[in-house]
Amino acid sequence: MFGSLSCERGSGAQVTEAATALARSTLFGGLSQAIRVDIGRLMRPVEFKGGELVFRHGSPGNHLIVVEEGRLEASLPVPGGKPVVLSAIGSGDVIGELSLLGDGRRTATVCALEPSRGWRLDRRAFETLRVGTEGAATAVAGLIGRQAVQRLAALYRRTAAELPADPPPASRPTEATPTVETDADDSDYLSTIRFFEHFEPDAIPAVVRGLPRLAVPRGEVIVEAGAAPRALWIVIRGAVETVIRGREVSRRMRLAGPGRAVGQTGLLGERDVVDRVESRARERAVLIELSWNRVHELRRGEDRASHAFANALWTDTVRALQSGERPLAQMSVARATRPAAVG
Amino acid sequence: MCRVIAYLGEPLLLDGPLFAASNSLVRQSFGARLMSLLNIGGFGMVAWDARSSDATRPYVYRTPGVPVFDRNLKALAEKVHATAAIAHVRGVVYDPRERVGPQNLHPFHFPGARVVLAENGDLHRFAEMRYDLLEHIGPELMRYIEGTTDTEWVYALVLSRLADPFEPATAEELADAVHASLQILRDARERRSINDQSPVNLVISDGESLVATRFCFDYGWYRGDGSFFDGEREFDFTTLWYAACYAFTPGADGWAMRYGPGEPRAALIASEPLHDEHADWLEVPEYSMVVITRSRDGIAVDVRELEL
Repeated sequence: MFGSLSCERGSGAQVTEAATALARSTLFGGLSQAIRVDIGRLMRPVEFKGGELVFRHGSPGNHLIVVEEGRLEASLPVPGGKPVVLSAIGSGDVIGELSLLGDGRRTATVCALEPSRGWRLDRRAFETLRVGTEGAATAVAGLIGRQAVQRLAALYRRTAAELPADPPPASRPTEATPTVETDADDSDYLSTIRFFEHFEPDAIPAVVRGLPRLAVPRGEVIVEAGAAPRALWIVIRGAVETVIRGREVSRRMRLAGPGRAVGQTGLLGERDVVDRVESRARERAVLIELSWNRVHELRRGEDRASHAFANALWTDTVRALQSGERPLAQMSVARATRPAAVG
Repeated sequence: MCRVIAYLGEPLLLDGPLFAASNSLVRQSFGARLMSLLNIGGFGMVAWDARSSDATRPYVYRTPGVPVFDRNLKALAEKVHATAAIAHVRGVVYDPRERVGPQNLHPFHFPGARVVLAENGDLHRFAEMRYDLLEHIGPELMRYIEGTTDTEWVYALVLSRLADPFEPATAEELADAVHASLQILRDARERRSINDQSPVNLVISDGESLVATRFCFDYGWYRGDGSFFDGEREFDFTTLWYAACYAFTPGADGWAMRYGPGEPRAALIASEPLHDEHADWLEVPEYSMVVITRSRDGIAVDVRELEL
């Protein structure tokens, strides 16, 4: 089954070079040598001329690049204006790393300022790590995912700071109590939604057995503004939105439909709570609730079900970040059409 | 599941958004980037030119054929300029029972009405609730319903919410009519226990203003029946984008947004960005309404949260 991949895999010398570049990189330097070699086998050398476009803002992201030598620049195009330079990129930097897990579009344009070279890892090649070497895949996903959680919290803080303060009252919590079911036999359905798309059939019940399914009415607040998420929730039906509300405008950070998780910033504990971030059921919803103890237990587990969970968690976290970073219009609050009661 | 575009602003050569842009509407009929289905159930366009005689009367072109092969449309698009327009390619179920024909083509435009409407959506089990809407639709409008689509009924519903469906309406009146119509649809669905995901992206214009929704009833409650649209989960909240600029014109770099001083003078709405420069486009948030108005100073865009 790896026949088509053999031609993509580098020679022994190339693998060693790629593993060395990984060791020197800011993101992957902490991985074990064995894992770096596993990944190095999947990498291809790339070179760019001075002035060459590496990737363009808005284009689909499907690979990362570990820069070994040279100088590049990330910028953001401005409609009708000159691009804004975001950062300088050099030896040891990793660009486009979110594309390894997520499926969003590039959030910046990257150009080589001088002849540069590095190592490219395609998402499709990375997917093969999940087969037989889940440990390596999970370790890499964990690095990218943990970075994504930090960036997600920073994005919340930055967005909240940009929206004028003194927001109107947040959504009204409904009085209805969520219905709880703990013995649901829904593995067949779960296998069709995103969070569980890479789980082996027996891994799904291993992860979700005994966990409560919460039936939540429309409008129910899941995470109150200013509070840390008390659990991680996986939406299995319906939708939960995470919104930052300002005085005049609000910004939806994510609409989590089936197969998306809610509450990832809770991985950071109480220290990164952003005041005006609120999550509530935008549609009536069914959620699987995982306590943080259970989440951490699965993150640390070495069995296949735990690896599948960790990979899914980090992948979804990257998608949450990409959703928050998408070029989404703000919504005016003052003229919003809102009903007298929600739910 | 359809693709739609709309325009309001300074005169725009229709060839750009219809054919020439790198992701034009006609290209989206056979190669949409944000959905996997073909949109080959017909093409429709309603366009106004404020400089023409009888300016409130729009130019209308509809064909049940596939627009990429339509030389007449291409020739017209290379000549005709519009100050407002809605155009639509229809996505239909690949099934011989599907009714493809002139009576089901968007945008809908009843005789004498000033307002037209197109939809990128699909009200699941509409046949069960269709006649529940009768009490909300004016009899003078009912007689114009010819086709079998849910959209034509939604159009009649919106027109019926206006003080006079045959007179001009302000952007706010259009926005209120759309909101009230969605509420009626929600109530009708609840009465019939229809609770599966049903997107309702509407685009409405009278040539003077433009109102669009990115909305979905019961998002995340997949039909789970292996039905045609059940396979579209990858893009499961039907997309909508907008751009505001000085002009959308051809140049050495292809069709592109141009920018100038002051307020924007042109606004485009589209199911997906019409060209590759994504920085020009903003995604319309889920559950929101875009209200675009024209004034002496230019074009104003207001995006509002839409709760029912």
